[in-house]
Amino acid sequence: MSLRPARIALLQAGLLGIAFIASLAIGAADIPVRVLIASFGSGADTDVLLILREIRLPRTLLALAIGAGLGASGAALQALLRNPLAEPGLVGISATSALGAVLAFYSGLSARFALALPLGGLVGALAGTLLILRLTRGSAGSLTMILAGVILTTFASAGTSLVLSLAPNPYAAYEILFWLMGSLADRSLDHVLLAVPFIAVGLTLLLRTARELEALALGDDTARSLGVNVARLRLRAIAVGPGVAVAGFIGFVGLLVPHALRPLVGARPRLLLPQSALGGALLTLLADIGCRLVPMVGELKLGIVTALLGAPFFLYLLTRERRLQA
Amino acid sequence: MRAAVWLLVLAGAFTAAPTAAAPARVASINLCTDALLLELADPAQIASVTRLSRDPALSVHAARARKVPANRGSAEELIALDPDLVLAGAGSATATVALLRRLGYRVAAIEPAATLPDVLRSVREVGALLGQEARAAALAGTLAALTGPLSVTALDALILQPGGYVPGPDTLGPTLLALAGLRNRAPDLGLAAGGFANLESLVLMQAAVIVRSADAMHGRALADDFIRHPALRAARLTHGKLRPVAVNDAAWACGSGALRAAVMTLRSAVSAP
Amino acid sequence: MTLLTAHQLCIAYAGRRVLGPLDLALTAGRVLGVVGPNGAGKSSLLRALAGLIPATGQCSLLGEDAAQFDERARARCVGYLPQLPSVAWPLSVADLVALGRTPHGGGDHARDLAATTRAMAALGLRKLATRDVQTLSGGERMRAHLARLAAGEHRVLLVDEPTASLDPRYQLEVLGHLRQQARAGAAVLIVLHDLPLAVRYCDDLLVLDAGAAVRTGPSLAVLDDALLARVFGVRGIRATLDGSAQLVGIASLQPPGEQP
Repeated sequence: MSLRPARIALLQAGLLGIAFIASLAIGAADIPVRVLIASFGSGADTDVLLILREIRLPRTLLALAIGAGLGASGAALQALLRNPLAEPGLVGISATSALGAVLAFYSGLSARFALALPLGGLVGALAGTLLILRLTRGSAGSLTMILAGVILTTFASAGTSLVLSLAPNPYAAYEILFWLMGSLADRSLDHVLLAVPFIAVGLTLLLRTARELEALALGDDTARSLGVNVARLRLRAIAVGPGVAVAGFIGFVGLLVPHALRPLVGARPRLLLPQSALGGALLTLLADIGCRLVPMVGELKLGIVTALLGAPFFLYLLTRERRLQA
Repeated sequence: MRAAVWLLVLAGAFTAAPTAAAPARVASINLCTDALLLELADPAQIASVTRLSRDPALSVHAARARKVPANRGSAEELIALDPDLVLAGAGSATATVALLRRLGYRVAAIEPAATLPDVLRSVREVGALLGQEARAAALAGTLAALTGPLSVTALDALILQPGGYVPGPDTLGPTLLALAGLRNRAPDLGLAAGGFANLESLVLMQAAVIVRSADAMHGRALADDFIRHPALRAARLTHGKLRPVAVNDAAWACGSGALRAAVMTLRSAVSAP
Repeated sequence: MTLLTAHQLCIAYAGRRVLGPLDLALTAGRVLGVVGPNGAGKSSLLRALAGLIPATGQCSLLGEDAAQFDERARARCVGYLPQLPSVAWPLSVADLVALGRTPHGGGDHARDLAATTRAMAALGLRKLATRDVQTLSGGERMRAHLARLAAGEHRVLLVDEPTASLDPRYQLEVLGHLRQQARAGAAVLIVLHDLPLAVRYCDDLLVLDAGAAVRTGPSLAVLDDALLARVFGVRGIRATLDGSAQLVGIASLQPPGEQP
């Protein structure tokens, strides 16, 4: 058993620690580092501490949790669908999660019952998972899967726009960009409490199924003959739902991270899944820090950064696969 | 001779110059001109106002507007109404305005108000168009009286609309603060021209008062979450600053008599402990 | 001892009857070969017996109603190897064989390791343990998959066309291994295309044609010329081996003497 996976994990954890501190140090208000450090020691509750606790910390925690969920779900979906192009954004699960969340939010349901928001995301993710499985039944090919993902994403995004247009509040129509391109700006500890417990549970369940995911190397039929409940495994990918509900659609993390880590730690789910969780957390946090650093009015949407990184990579994967098939 | 008469009639139809007789039926296709129309005209003069004015979130005259036929601002509806005068906002619905003028309707385009003098001018202009000069003068008088000296100590303040938007000098926002005796801190956030405030700078700011939109909006949107952010709540609790004061946006969004109510609300809310 | 029985098994797909009704029984120590033309329903039969596709009729495992078994228990009892098995991502031979222990839950490491090692030894894979399965030759790869099957210590083995795309010597190797599994106490069912091989390595044969069971019985007796002509459109070439007339080849339905 090589030490390499352990070393990669340690490296990622180390980078995560640095990114964590950087995330607390970077924000819209230019606060010098010494002032940040001083705010801990002063004892009195200063404005700076308030910013750290109520604005930058929630954002950081959400980036870590959502990113971990996306990374692990991507690796799991790639094993489940036996397709290297699979990830929650591409197969449409993130888009359906957004629709579920938007319905819960703009109908006023989540104002009365706060948990309705992450639950809306979960239900949306579940619907998306069931639909993608239905659409790709019997065919494991990339083309079918991507087409099915495009169908789901198009439909769900159109549905989201529709709901926002019909929402009674006039500001709703302008919020489409948040839902379709994702953002962690101004998220609070309330959002952390709404999403992170769900993500933590989902992630734990996902990591525990790694052993069963291993059997999928032999195909759905053989895996089932080995006693693996493939249907139940597939549903575990809905862990991304609550994250989308508080941060909108963030794509490509689940695609980029497992691919980057596979050459380093191998393709076996038992190793790749936890490593992808770490990698996803790291990538999302770095992308979010990047959003804060780009000088512009307002803030760059997180989904734009991940798309700028992910879309070219996706194109590269697609052309490589077609070349291999030719 | 007849040609000259026709020319005069045509000129009268195509210009916004006030005629000798007050127009019998006036329609308005703009939220702000709706307000002026509702405040200054005799009820019999009002042919139609926009549907938007029926919404209490958008107009303080919603109850009055509901008693009057509503329009969606389309030329078709206006033609069916056949008004003597159409009030429109300058710069908006330009295609509709051009079409109506081409069809021979008299359309007065009223400039949006950004300062108190602007408001007074709009009030007087519409009053003249409606033949309600006396009423307009009275309304202008009450508005002009707002600029008297105040007995309150000047507090630092900021207007925060949903989503964290700080209105700039192209709106009546800064005027509202000034008339209430508040010092506008928008320039300190680099938002002298208006724009979106960021949460962190707000927390660091020492403004005493946040003038926020009253909860009149139906339904919910993410934009509403900004003012409710725990960071602002915490800043208020620990430092006693950023005290929110609610003012109905609809009262000062337009340059109309409703501005007075907004200013008085703000003054009393600020001086209250 | 009968390990698996199926009574009035029927498989329907999209409202159309694909297979059945048929009865079959798998006995410990014996190999049952399932033969028939393409589209006869052989693979479907296998998948239904493995519990992978729904089927009507009664099925019993180890004397108990098969419906009483949960997925894990059934998986421990019945092992399945599909046609042309593949591996979706790079896996070492040792890891592939270890996957065969999945139904046992992973609680008893010692037992898992012992079973895996035994299976690899039985199929001569010890030297290839750390090699990536995808880099092996066809014969070696099949042995690795068979070792995976063997590691599961199943009482019933359902194998779909294990000789497909294999060189002749590997075909014999594979079938010999499966017969050995039977002799060691398992009940083995193999779907085969090659009729002489089926006769040689299976104790009993079940002939399927267009979803129906045509005949079942001892392999030496089942494939007479009439059946060969009717179902397969060929005739048999027989020779006497080990004291009995066995099918050793097939030829087209033309009078002897003419070139096929």
